[in-house]
Amino acid sequence: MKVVMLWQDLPEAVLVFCVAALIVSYSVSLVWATKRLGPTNLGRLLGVYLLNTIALVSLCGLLFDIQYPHNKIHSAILFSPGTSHVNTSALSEEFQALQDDTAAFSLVDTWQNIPELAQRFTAIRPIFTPEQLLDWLPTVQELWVLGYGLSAEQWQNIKQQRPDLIVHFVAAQTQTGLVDIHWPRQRVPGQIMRVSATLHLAKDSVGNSSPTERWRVNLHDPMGQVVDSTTVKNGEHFALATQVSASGQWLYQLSMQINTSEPAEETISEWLAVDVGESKIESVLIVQSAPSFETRQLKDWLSQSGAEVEVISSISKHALKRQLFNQRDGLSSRQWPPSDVADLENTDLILLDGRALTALSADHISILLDAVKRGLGLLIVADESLLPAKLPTALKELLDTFTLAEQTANQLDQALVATWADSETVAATAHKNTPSTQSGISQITLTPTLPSGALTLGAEPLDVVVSSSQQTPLVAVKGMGLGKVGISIINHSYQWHTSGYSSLYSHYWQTILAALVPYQGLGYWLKAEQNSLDITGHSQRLCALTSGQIEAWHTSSLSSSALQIWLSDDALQSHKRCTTLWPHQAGWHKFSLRDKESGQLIDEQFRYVYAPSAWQAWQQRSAMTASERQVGQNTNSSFAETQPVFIALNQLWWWLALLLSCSLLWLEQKRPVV
Amino acid sequence: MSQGELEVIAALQQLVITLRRHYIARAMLQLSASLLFAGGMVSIFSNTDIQTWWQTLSTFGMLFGVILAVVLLLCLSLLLVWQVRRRQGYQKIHADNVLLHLNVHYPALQQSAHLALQDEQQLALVQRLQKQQILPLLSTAIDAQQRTFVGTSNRFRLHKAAIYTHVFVIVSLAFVWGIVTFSATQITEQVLPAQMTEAAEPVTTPILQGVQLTITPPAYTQTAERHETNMSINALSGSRVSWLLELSPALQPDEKLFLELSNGQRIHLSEQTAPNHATRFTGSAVVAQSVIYFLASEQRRFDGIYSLSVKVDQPPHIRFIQPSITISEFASDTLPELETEVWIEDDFALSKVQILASVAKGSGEAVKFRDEIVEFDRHELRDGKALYFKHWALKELGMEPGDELYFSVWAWDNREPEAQLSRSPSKIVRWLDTSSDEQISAGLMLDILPEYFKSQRQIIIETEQLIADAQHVDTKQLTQTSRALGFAQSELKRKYGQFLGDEFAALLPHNMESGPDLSSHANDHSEEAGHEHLSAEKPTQPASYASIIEQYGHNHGEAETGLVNKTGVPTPTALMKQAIANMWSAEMHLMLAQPELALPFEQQALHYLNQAKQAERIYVKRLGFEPPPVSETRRYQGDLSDIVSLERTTHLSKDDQIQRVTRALNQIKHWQQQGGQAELALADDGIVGIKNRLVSSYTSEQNVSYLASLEQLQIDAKQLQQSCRECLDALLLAVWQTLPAPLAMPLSQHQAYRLEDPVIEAYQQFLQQASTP
Repeated sequence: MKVVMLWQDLPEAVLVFCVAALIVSYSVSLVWATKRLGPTNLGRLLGVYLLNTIALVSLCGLLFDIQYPHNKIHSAILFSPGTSHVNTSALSEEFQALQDDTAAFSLVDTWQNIPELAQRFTAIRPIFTPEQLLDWLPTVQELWVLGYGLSAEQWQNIKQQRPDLIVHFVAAQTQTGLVDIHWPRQRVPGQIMRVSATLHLAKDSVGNSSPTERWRVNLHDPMGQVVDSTTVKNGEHFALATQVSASGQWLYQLSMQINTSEPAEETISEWLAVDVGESKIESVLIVQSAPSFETRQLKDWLSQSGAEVEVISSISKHALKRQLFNQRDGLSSRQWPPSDVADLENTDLILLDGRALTALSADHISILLDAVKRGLGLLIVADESLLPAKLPTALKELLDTFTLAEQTANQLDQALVATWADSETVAATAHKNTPSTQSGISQITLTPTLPSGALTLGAEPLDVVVSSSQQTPLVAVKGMGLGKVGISIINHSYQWHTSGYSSLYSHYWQTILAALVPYQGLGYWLKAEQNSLDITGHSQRLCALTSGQIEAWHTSSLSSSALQIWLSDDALQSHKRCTTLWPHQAGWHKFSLRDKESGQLIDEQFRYVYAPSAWQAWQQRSAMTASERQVGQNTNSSFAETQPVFIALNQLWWWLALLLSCSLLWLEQKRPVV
Repeated sequence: MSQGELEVIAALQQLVITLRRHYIARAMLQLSASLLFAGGMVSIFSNTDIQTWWQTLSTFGMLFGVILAVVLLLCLSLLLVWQVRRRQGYQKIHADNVLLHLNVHYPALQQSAHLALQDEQQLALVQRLQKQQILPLLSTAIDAQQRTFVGTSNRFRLHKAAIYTHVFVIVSLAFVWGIVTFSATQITEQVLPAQMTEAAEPVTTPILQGVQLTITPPAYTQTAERHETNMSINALSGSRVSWLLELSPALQPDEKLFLELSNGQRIHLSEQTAPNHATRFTGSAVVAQSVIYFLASEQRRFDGIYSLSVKVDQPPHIRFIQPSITISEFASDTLPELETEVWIEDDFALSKVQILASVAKGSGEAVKFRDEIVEFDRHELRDGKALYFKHWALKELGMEPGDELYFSVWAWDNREPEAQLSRSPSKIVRWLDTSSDEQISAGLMLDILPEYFKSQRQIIIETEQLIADAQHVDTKQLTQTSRALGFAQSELKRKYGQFLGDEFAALLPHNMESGPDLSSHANDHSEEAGHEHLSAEKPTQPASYASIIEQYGHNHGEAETGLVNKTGVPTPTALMKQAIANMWSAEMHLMLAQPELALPFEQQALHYLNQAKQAERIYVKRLGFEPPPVSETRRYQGDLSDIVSLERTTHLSKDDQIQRVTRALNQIKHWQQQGGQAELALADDGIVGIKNRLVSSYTSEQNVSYLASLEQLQIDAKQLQQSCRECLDALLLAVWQTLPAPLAMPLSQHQAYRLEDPVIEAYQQFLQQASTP
């Protein structure tokens, strides 16, 4: 038995006074009753004593929370979304053995579609969140969940309060759709967007899903055109890809239907939200021993994107020609060769050819190495001057993991085909359907061929960024400190651009630069996870990496005003700051990082929040997986045994007793004393 | 009762009547002022335009309305009077209360005025005496009260009150009306977009009740006129379009309507009166180009953007059935007769068809040309197609062996006023003179007679022709023609393959378009090389001189001999291999009767062939000259004194036209995803960018519907979304397809850590120490 005083937070003096007053008043009332009734009305006097005592006890019962231990297992049933799709014949004997007065709670009202449950459990309490179940029934020890189950986040909230809760899960039949979906939420123009998923088919009425039925899955661009498609069976994983072209916030679409020659009756489609943002490299330095077409095309491509490009070309033994494009305000041309690491502070990437590199003195090379180790990106276009026989000693550290050799004579005639990540996808979609194109001639596969160079490159397989069709390295990148060093034996990639394959050319350089150049801005939002799904009413976590005083702002698509959001520092990473939101509106949400003092925009990211009706199959699958994981934890839990719980006495009886006793006492007093 | 008493009582009754009348008058004044104010407020804030409604009534209607209004007012007045009489205040006006009132206001009556109405028999002596005493005073008091309410001054006060009250109400209503009207005017001026015409009022909903368009094609087309009830139509260029529009009478008087076309033209509409009091407007014009138009007047512009798509009369289309090849050759010993079959079609009819033939006699500088205009022998209609036939007998044309005939078909259609002319490609007929072919030179310099075969360009031309004619020929013929092209492609492929040492032991061709003959390099080698040569296949045709060279010359069997590979430049061998690889694919598709799939490969093959020719021309190394290698010590020792500055700063502006267009598309898509209910405000540069891309990418016929949708989008996006969502989607798709292939942007790596992080810095120092030996 446990007795807890309800108002135990009051000061002790007050409590003592109250108790003393209670006792004194009880005693005084007995004395008065004795005086009034006297020995002649002994029966009546005893009745008054009894009633007074009952009143005192009732009052104490109201003032104190009296709890008693109870060893009975308290079960509860929770009807989650999808309960109407539960196969009642699959309910276990244990569920059938539950008493009809078992507490039942419902997150949805579709449980009524199952007559067996509706007839059996009549007193079902609706709740809005699963955690409310614990408020209503804090002593629950065993929980039966029917339907699709709860999400991982919901289980986490419940288990935080009741880690010893035993969970039973009766799964419902899920819908047909796509599960385990991954796609990048943020892209840059020209990048490949690859979406991968698994087809999940709903089981029929007898619990079987068609193993051989093939479905056609199409990937549509924002205007509805099919850009890629495949056919898959149940449980099969697939990937579709396309190259994003225009910046903005776009909704691509995945549609799936049964693969038949006749028009499909039912098409399931889901939206893939992709934020295609601008990206650029701030500053690039090109140092070359002689002007070349390669650097000229590269310079054009970089400067058209807004990057600051400085090209230093040797035009004489001791004279350098400098060309500065898109010079940023306040910055002058760099000192070359650099006399200190600070000279290269505002540079993201340096591109050197072999002769320009070997022309540097040992001190300059050391400075360059130092800058690379501090985060600079360095790309070397190799030539014969970097062959081991001619390589200066100072450069051995820089190029120790790369192996350069002369090309054999019989290989010189070969044209090589360069391949890199997603190059085939870019080549396959290089020609778009335009009205001027003849119908049916929609795609021409491009082959990025190049003449074989005079050198061969050897590198670690993991360092290779671009390779030939014979798997020989053409461009390799390795880390050095915090920066990256890359070496390339391709110096004729400009031919792709001059041949009209600009998309291939730009994608090639985008891939190389992405492998070499780290972002060095004031701050940026971290990208969303590829398998995350933001839904209204669910928590959404955002993190940013910043190095200064910044402010974060949030604008939803349906309102034009921005609200400031507060970021808190991460416990592990000092420059990482995060926040958690619960969006209420579906659609695009913009998150901005601004400098606190100047208000200048630092980074911007758009995220799409889906309505709860989106990605049903995925949500159901995730909830079922999380719920089954909870069931799996039951057997391994050390708290599987039931423990005694204390249940409070119902204070209604105390109140009724007090009322009755006081009423009888009042009636007794009204009656004249004989 | 005495006479005095009767007089007093009569006066009292008269006073009561006066008081009641005064009460009613004051009540009516209040009610009328209230009704006037309420009615005025309702009129001001009502959505219905009472004045406009009044004007729509006929004379009888107006008279009836006036009489009805008067009757209603009378009834209302009687009702109000009846209501007032039932009021408690009115009921209280009776003799007893009046006497009480007099008692209060006239102390001289000594509170005894009520005795005047009581019977003397029932009064006590004192009361009678009192009554006798106060009767004169009572009479005086009554007279005084009567004068107060009936007097001129009182009437004047009542009238003045009525006037003041009603004037005040009217002034208040005018004030309220002025405020409402002024505010509406300001709001209207702010909402009106800037692109509205100067004289245009805010856009109003069109009140078109009936639309009938009559399209009368030009007479030469012999096509019947047709009627449409849709304002957006298609018509042939030169057609006369007549509009008959029936609008509701809710137009302003003397409002002149016209149709404003996007090319600046205006079609004025004439007004007619319809039997049902609706107003009709008619107008017509001859259309020659696709436009979009809307209905407007000098005062306002009506909703709705319509398209007038004009289809141009196409010139005749000529296709040779026979001969299918461009050059036909006849040996000298054969009968030089040729059958020509031509299929000519036109949108409507042909007016004239003839053949322009030129005969070339002689050779070299002595060639002479003779032009003739020849008619077809006959023509017939077969399966709905007009076929023209001509039998050529070269001898009848005065030709001899060695002469050539060039002819092409000219066709005019029946367009008026000026017919359109189409000319077919020229066909060449050669009557060969083989007597000079038998000269065989003993030396290596041979007069090689070119053997004709289809060049790659010719194959492409004929494939394109086949694709264009695919809809007009049957499957069998298509397959045959495609396979013939496939064989030609295969032939060409084999012949080019010989350059690369393929195993095909065929003849080595010489084609004017294939560039210089590579095997001529064998002529540079002397016969004393003493190499063993593979015996070539015995030539089966007179023009197999290449095989003779192969047999007796110094062809080492490698096409690369003599070709110098410059580092970094694709070799002709590699390019030729690429060309042949594409020829394989083209041949496959042609054999499968898929010319549309073969065409890209043919074009690629030609591209590589051209590159091979250029590579061959430019990068052939000159033999016998070896320049000395460049010494690094001698490099870069030039005089740079003429260079003024070694630094140059350039700012390259980013061309963001594509970005403006994509931004506008993105904005429209967002608006659609949000339901399309809110206002859509597109930036002007985005609209201009979209328009430019449409105009530069599509024909005017295709653009009409897109531009109409764009115009409607600017005016009322919500209405477009609701009425024709497909039009908006088609516009967006059309603009999207005009965007160029995606150009990747430079990308830097966003890492999950900052370089300034102390942990990262410590790691960096660790790496530095670890890398230091």
